[in-house]
Amino acid sequence: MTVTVALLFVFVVACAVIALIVWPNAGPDVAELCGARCVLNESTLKINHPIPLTGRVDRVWALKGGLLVITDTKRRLGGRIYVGDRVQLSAYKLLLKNTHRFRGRPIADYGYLQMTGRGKNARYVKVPLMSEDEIITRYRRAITVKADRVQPRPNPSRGLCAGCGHRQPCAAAI
Amino acid sequence: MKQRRRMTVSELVAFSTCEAQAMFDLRYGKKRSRAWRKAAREGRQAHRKYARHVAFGRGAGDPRCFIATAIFGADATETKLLREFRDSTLKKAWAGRMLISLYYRLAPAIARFCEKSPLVSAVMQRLLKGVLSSLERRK
Repeated sequence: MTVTVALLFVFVVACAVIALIVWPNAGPDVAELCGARCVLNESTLKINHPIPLTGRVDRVWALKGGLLVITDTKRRLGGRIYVGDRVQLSAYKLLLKNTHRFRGRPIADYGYLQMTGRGKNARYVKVPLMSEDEIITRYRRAITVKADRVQPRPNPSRGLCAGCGHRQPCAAAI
Repeated sequence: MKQRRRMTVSELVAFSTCEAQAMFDLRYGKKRSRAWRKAAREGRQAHRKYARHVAFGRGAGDPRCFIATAIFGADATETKLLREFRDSTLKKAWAGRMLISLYYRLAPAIARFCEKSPLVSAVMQRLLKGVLSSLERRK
């Protein structure tokens, strides 16, 4: 018994040393998702209530306690979270909540973004989700803008405008 | 009553990001820089790759949770023996539970490293075999 525990201790110490060496590449990990079962993988969900919405959910994991956690893959280097990411994961939650297969099952009020970087190890970033009401409000706003009932608001982000091909007509319109 | 066309999540995200861009996209099509298009293409490839990875049973949890699983396989006798030892002996004592929690914190990074480096994998295998033979002697 003592020998086994001693050997196990040596094993854990060896693990710690190697972990320290590889830590910069490993990034923060989600112990929570270890042992979780993937219940949805790149699947399209459609709902009509409370809003007509459709989307392709990357992955949904069922934790041991039954809680469902949504993850989305992003090919980004940094761990920055944008409003769009929160909207996306929250919309997926709304889809899951109103899909017959998952109705009544507990869904986490957070999700994870799996940042794959460029050939680096994936790191997971926790994202707090928006409320259902906020998503419905955003949907209504989008419908109103699409119907030309209100003036579309531009996003004053230099990074976004730099990669946008509508820069000139947009600046002229505003 | 006529059902309204379903909005896609991507559309909703586009309107949340920049309403002006979303409207221009609807009217004139998406106009993006070459770098943006390249990044989007790479993103789609990463999605497909990871979807395959999960579909073949190598999910977020499996390969990274247990070094023994990464070295011997999920259903191997060695892995089962270690699990049994964890559940029947280690979990009962406070020190054992601490050891388990420490192992779970380190295991994902090590398991990934084992997949990449045959040398580390061999060292881990040797250490685990020592633990296993000691467990077998106990029986």
